[in-house]
Amino acid sequence: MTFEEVKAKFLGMTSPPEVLDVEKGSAKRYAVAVDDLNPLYLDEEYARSTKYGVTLAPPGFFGWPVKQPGPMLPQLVKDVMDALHEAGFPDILDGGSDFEFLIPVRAGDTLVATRKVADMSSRGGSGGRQMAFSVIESTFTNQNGQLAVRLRQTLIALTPAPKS
Amino acid sequence: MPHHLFWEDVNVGTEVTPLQKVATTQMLVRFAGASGDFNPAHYEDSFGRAAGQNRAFVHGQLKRAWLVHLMVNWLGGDPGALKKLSCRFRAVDWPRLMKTMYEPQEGETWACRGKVTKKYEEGGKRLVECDIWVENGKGEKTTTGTAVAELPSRAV
Repeated sequence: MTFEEVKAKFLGMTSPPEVLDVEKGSAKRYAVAVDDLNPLYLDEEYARSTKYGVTLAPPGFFGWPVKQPGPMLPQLVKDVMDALHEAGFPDILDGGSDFEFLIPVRAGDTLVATRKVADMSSRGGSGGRQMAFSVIESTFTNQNGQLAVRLRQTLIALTPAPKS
Repeated sequence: MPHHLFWEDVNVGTEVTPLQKVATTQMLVRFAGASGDFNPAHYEDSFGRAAGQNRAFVHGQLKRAWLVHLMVNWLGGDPGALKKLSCRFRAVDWPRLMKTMYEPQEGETWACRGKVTKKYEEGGKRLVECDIWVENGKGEKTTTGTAVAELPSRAV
């Protein structure tokens, strides 16, 4: 499979909705892992005294699935990466993230994520390596039907470094 | 109660209160577990080498999470005030090794920084845009980005 064939197959493809539970303990563990000890993430009594009423998930926590059953990557992202690997682009780099936070995600929320391959392009990179860019757009909607987060992630797949 | 940052206190050029961070091998293990990113490049040196590095390196998404912390801390601890955050990973960082179960070895300290680039009103909201970045111990920007936040007014 060539890059153009991968693009023809995946560009515009959307994933079936994924259900993501924002567990209170998982949100706390994430905050502690980042060393971000904001009481709004950690202290329920404090959170009750605020306009939120309950602890929140740190913005961006839902970017990686909260408790992804099975594979580590969303299936659609994994499928694109696997196809690019097969097309000769085995090394993957994180090309960055663009988050839009519309409403806070609360501990205990259930989000539904849908993902779409919004763009694919390829060009020559440094060191004689070809680069393939894949832009994945995700939306996260909560149990009340409110759009909570929009996310654009860019994944960069590279051909192997030339042998020196 | 945390402090509040008000619209009237901020102008183009205002510095986002800096935040220091120390990446350790222990933090990377914790972050892998908490985020679900189990790419071995972040805990196995041989995978780090395969990605062109000499050992396991810091998750880009951890540095992105540091930038969220930078912004929310500056916003008085209100995560709901952060409206947008974008970042790009410019260079790789390597964590400090641990000295004891609780303490890292001496070594690199990272600084998360930012600066207000735009102050504007849109749709009845008072917003600021900032350039934000992570600097390594040599002062090099290894992650760069932008953020948009909504600020309350003292007048309201």
